[in-house]
Amino acid sequence: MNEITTEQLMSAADALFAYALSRVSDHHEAEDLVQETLVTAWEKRGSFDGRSQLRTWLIGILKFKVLDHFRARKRTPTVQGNGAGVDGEWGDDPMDKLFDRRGAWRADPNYGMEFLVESPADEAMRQDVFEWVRRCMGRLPERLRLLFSMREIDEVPVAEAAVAAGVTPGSAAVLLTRARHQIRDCLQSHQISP
Amino acid sequence: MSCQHDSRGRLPVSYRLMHVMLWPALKMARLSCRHFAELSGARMDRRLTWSEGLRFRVHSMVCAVCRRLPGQFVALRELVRAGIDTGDTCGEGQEHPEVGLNDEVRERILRALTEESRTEGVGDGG
Repeated sequence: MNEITTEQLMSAADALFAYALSRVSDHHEAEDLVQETLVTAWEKRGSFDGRSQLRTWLIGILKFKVLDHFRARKRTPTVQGNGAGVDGEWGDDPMDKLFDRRGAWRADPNYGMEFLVESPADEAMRQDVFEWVRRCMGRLPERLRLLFSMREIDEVPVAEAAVAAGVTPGSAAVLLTRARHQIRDCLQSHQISP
Repeated sequence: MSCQHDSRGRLPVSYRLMHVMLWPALKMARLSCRHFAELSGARMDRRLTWSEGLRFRVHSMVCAVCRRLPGQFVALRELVRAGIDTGDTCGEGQEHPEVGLNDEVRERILRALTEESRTEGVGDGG
């Protein structure tokens, strides 16, 4: 068992807050989630065995707090079928913008996208790319960003992510595709190049 | 459908002509680039059905424009996980320069932790 101090927990507070903000856009909700996480971590400090880094352990607790947070909202699934813009809070369907009526691309999807598959050698460029990815994710509607984050980052199964986002699993699948295209298009619009 | 494009990201005339000529058939067979793009997204979360997989492979073989799209999604996932996961994009020991709790909130959290410690002490029969 590793002894954890309150100072150690507080040192991770900002990182937890950044993570929470990437899941809930409201600052107060993110603050509450951080507080709940740290209090829970303090209660369970005896279970921290030190095999992972403290921050990783804390993020794990925070992930569950975020899930509980959205479950507690008791959203009923509001998006059925293809989830295409029925509820305005999901944003517009990017596919109509990306493709013409014949189903052809309106612009080359590969233009300026080399950075996605090539690792920038320069650390500054790498951080630049991360920053743009963060910004593009930030432009997603809140619930769509949550769905995408839970799926892509937290690797939560689609069905579970759907519950947290308040949609049916079928709609979640469509919305995730929409989110991926939106972020991809957002990155391309900035034409980031290594 | 070749993948030659000019520096402005425009698609070649050949690509557009191909779609003008073939789009009804492509649409009926769900083989258009839009369909492929949807499948590329879907396969990130689930296994494609047999027919979806066939359409995916056929389109990937004939369309150089779309061929790199699945790789972009995979790379995006890796980037997102590497850069955003734990907020460690600044590296261990560094904090994200733009996001942080203000002093008032930090004090509130510290009080909650202190209160929790006091409660534990009482619970231990102190």
